Amino acid sequence: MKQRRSKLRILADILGIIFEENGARVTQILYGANLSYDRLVKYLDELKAKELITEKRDDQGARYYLTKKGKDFLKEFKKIEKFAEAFGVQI
Amino acid sequence: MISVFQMIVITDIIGAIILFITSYYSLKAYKKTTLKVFLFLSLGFILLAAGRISHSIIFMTISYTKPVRLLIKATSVTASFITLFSEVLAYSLIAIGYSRNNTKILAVHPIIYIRQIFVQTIGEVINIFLLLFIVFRSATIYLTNKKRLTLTTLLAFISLLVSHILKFISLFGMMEPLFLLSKFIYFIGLLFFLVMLLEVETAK
Repeated sequence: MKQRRSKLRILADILGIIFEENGARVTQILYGANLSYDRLVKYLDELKAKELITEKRDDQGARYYLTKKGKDFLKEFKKIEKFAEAFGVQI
Repeated sequence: MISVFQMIVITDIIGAIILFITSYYSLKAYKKTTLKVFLFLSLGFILLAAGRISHSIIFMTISYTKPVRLLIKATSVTASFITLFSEVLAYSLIAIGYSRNNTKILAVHPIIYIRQIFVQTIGEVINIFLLLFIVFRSATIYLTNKKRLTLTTLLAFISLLVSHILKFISLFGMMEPLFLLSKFIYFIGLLFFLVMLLEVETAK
């Protein structure tokens, strides 16, 4: 049985996609994070409010970028994920 | 030339530093994830570190102040008790954490000695059983995910278990080499934790 992802994991997944794409659009994040549009918008708003991502608009729509704070958060998450792995804890 | 006595103090201090760092990482993980397993691990490792530190401080004090023989005996008994108590509590917390997730013995006065042996024996038995549980859980996790990092943690706990078994045996026969070997293996276990922490720190 597949485990439900924690909120922290979902946020980290979103940040990870934005990082890998070096700036991502909503559709890219939707596919990568495997979320419904409504939930994704809610999480993106939260990430923006926490200043982990910034939104830039062009003629094709919005594109999201990681802020320095977002990059630090992602780096920190990767370390915690590794640490948790050592003790068999799933985040 | 470093004496055995000083060697014990040095390994205790290095070990305590490794344990403090492990505890710090656990606390950081708890703050981010709010998973209670990390809080138990953090408290467990900080207690192990505190036990090592208090043990080394008492031994350093004895080493530099050179008090009368009786005081040496009394303080080493106290030091052993503090370490033992913190270890029992620490392993209990680590075991709880896992369950929530998927001295050289100086010749002392006979009565004090017998009481010390008795308490030490019981404490060591508890530690061994707690560590058996921790190793079992850790091994199960490793067999499930087969990850190198989990193996490192498993090897660390196995070393601690072997160290406590050797310490337990050395209690009966006053076998100094066995006691020193247990100290050495304990230190190896902490080095495994250090390897794990280094891998965590370099995670990309």
